[in-house]
Amino acid sequence: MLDHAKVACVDPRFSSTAQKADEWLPIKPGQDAALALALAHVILVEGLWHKPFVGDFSDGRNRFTAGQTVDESSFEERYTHGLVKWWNLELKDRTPEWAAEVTELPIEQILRVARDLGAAAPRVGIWLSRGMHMTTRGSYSSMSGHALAGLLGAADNEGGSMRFNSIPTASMPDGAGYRDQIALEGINHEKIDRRGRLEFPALKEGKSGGGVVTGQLATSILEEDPYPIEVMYASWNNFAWANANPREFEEAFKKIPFMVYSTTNISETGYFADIILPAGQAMFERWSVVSNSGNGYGTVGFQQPMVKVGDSRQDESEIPWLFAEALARKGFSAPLDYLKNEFADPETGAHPTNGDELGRIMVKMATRPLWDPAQYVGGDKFSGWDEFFKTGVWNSDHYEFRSKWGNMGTKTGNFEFYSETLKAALEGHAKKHDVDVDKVLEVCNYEARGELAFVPHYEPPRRFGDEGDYPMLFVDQKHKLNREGRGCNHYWYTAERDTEPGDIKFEETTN
Amino acid sequence: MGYGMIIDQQLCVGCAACTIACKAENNTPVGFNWCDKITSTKGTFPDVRFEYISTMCNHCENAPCVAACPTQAMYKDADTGLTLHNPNKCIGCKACVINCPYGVIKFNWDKPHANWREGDRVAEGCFSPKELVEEVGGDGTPHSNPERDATYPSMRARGTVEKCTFCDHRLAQGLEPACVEACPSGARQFGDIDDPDSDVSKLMVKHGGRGLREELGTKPRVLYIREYGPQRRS
Repeated sequence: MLDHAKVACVDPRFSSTAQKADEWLPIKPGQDAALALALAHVILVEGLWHKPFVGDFSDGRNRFTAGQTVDESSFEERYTHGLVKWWNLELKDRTPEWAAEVTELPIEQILRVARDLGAAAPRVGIWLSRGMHMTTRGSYSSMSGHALAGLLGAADNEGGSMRFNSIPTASMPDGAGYRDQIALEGINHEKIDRRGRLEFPALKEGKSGGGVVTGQLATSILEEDPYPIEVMYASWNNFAWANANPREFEEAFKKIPFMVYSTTNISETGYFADIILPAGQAMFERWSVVSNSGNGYGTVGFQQPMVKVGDSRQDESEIPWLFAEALARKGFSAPLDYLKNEFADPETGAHPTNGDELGRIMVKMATRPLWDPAQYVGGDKFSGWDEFFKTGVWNSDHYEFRSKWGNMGTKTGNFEFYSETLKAALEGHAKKHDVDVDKVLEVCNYEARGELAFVPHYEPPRRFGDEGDYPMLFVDQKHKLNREGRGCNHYWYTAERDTEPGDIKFEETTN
Repeated sequence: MGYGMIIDQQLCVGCAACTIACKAENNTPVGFNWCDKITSTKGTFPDVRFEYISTMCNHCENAPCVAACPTQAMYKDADTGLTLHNPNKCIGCKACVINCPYGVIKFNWDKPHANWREGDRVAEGCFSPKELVEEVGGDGTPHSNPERDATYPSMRARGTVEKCTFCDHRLAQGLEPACVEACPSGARQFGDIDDPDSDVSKLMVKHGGRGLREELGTKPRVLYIREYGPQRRS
């Protein structure tokens, strides 16, 4: 990529990408939206937006001038929605001078990057990682970053960011018919993480409480709100280590009378468990479907048990099967009936007789649309399970560029700078709690009020702790040897920690 | 015929996949990296530059370790140009270690993988390191790769040296060295550097490569092209 593209990396840390980048923008932590908005401001003022995607002023004369509002009717949008509203509500005042002060980046660099982006449009990859939005008030930072891709016509376009190609695996059989009265009541209880309450909108896919609020779990357990937890089954997580404020999680786990934990290795959470169920490791010891995407293709493969080390069980097939058998012995046969009746080998019709067979059948059922010629969904074509099993991977057809222009999955179908989709979601959440959107924003600690809530805008980051007591800002680091965000305790990992500048072998460092 | 490696610094991302792949392939103990690195951070914030140079035995044409070895345990292989080591002839004098200007030869003061012979369990119900080796059946370590044994002992003897062989056991099977295969950015190219028509030789002609400490006259066969930092494109 470096042979063909200029790379600008925004990161408070001198990251692996920053080390290889043409431009490193060592931004003040939490100020990413300020930079993104200022880049958008310059792109508009200097007329650098991608007109075939965004549209243009009817008479072709650029009216975007710092500090001045623009008449909405003077602009004809094409595949976007609300550009002038966004400008009037927010962007007109987000000058590079303002951003330079907030971000502590040189104004020349902000201008240079904005102009480079404009010159390269639409062949621009705007790639956001979690540092930008997995922070308090990070949602609007994320929107501000993605909005750049919209302005530059780099959404769903060659060189730009693409949406994940859908992976057409089959869903698992519905278990609704096997739920008794207790189960039905249980499902209707409020979730322990308080998702969907006024202060936790969790608006995944626009639904109030549609997302997960993992960080809330410990407080909920400690406060017994919405209810006390008597038994907990934890599988393949390590919340006492991986969450912010792990001490609160430790206190919460201490409080739980009976805790069962399924895990591949001894871990911080494991110390609080009454029973540990050793789980097979994904790559070599269990059946599972793995999907990914890259380079315009979606791919699906699977993993299968190859070795067995110690007395471990597959956590998504063998352990549920053992639970179901144990419950059946106690007179609750519905879970085992569900597994035995609803799961069947798509080729032979045979039902599972144990957890390992269940795992294999689950993989076969989930991947059936990919290998069964009768259900062909596109991409690689197989004659049947045997050929797919031997090949090990299915690849989709190549991503069709611009197929989502005008079909973005939003309320208007267009790329929304003024988000009617977020507006409907926030209004739905507010209505559920019989308040207005401003009240939701207030309770959720956002500063925006009114229409500003529906456009990408600047929210000052919230600092935890007093600046006098804690003058340094903590930036969570993902070491380059980490796969994803998970830690790794293998000694090859700790022995090679010094692959990052400032790091030391076998040590944790602050840099 | 002489095998050599070209490392394109522009493609290298400093991820250490080469180092980890080497450890998995060659059964090196903690602290021994046949494939290692030199890093440097220069400049003053915000104008900082980082460089990562992947290193290993340079398989020098004019190898000081071979010249220094009193028993010919360290030798140049006539067919492949590799600098190889015969542990059966090694008397552990460390002349090669001292004479190697690159510091890539390691000496086994003790039997390797001592940490995998420990019997303590972190908690009851877990494997101790020793028990885990017994359970999975590795040679000294649960990671051990039996294929290494084809040309070099998987478990090295106390009092002998060891170093990179360019994965001679893989070359014999028509495979590339493990570090080359593992590199996610294709930064490493391997081939016959004596053949002017080979891909590696063509890369050298195109970019003009350099070896480490060439002024010593060792004629290293690991050569670097382009720079780690961003290239300025026209």
